[in-house]
Amino acid sequence: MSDPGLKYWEDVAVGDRREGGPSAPLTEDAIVAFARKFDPQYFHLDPAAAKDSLFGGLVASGWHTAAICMQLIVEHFIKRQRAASLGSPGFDQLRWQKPVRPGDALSVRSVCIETAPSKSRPDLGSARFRTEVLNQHGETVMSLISIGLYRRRPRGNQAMATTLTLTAADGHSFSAYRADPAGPAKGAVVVIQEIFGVNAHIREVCDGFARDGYVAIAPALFDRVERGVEIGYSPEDIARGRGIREKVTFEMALADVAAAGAAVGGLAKCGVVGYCWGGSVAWLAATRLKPACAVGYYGGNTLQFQDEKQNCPVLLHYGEKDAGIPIDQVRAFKAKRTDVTMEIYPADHGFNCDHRKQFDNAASKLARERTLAFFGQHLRP
Amino acid sequence: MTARPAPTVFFESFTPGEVRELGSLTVSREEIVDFAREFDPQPFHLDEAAARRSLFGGLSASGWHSLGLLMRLLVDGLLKDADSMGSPGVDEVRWLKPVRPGDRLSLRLTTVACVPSQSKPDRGVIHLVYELYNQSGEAVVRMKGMNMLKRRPAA
Repeated sequence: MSDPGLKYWEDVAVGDRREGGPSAPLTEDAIVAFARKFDPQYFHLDPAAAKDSLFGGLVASGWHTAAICMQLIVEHFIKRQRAASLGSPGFDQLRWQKPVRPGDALSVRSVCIETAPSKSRPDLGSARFRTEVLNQHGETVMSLISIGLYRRRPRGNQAMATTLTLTAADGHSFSAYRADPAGPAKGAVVVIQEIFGVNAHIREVCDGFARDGYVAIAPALFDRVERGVEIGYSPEDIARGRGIREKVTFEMALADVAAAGAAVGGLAKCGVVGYCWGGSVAWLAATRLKPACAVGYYGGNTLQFQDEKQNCPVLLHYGEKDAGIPIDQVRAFKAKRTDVTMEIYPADHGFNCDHRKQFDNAASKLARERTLAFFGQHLRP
Repeated sequence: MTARPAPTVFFESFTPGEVRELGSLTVSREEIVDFAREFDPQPFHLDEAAARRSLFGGLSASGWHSLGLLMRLLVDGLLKDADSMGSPGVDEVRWLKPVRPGDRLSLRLTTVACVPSQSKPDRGVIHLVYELYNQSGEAVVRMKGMNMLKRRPAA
């Protein structure tokens, strides 16, 4: 199940229900391995001796069940719903109702029973959940009142954000995320996604440009193949994202970029900024369309299309540790095309994305300053 | 497993108000990351850079890992000598401070109440406050919970 809006404390409401699982069946080996580390009592370690215990056989440590509960919460609630989870101050009333035995497959379900703003930190809030772990027979094996700590939605200079439905010239309709600045706009930018959809990161990028005074719009380019794709950055996510990207041609992507530009005052007045695959799309938007300017972050296909002539000023950012974009070829491209501004950072692919382990704060900050200066130079309201 | 040694810790071994110190252990970065990878793969438990940007200000152990370590100290320092009957649960846990790589953690146990079972005369429940504290003497976890223990057999 999904709840794509959940992000800040304000989005958590009493009565919200969530479910996830089941886990893979628990093996005897896993039970024993956990117990050896954390709870070496004979009824968790020795199947034969455990027969004589009050449990009548080997059972998992209660803390193993609790750890699996957390595993399910992270996998099914925190990651899937992209909650702005900041950790937890603790929990209350944990009860182990039934033993967990080898072969059991556990699920978690949770209902929000209370929310409260933090007394000491105005930017934080907490929520309490009645959380239960169930086995494959639907029996509750453990329950607790878990507590989550969340960031509150920022106020003040907060951008307004909406999700729109747009139509491209070829009749394809798709969704787009739009963020508007609180005050008068300095211009508009089309934000082009990576291979992970218009996910939390891309929306945050839009919100950031809106805070800097630009109307930002991110077309959901994967809607051509599958609607509503929003994925993370795990190896499985990367494989899935690549599979979808292969089916979205650059022509399709450019048609949707043009339509997104039209929705914010016309592409001719817009900046275009793209990341990863979107970085390549941004370059092609500059060479095959006519935006006001274009910025590409680590777009691998820029090398393939390096001989195309741009119709607007272009700024391209690359990371020299990017294994997917050979840096010698980037340097050769840079040497050949003095009419394109190219910047190289001592960073890896994806260095601008703070949801990825490749995030590089210094490179991201510098590239952002350069991007904003570039927009300041080339964009007008 | 060979025959277990005869228990020496019973329900009667506890008196409300008494405090026990139960030994200590050190947690490594590798253990923190291994646990988090399996059970609590959130960036602030896995990755130093992500952790620095989080509320924790640096890599910290999953709270569930800290509780596992608390349990380990409890077993090694006490329950291995008891005929433990498990625990019905825990009333309250607060993760007070982050547990960092290299921290040396110790367990202090304060007995709150000793309640003999009404229905089963062979056992009773000890209510305890468990405090896990680090090498600087700061409490990192405070837990209020219970352990069910066998009563001392009549001589």
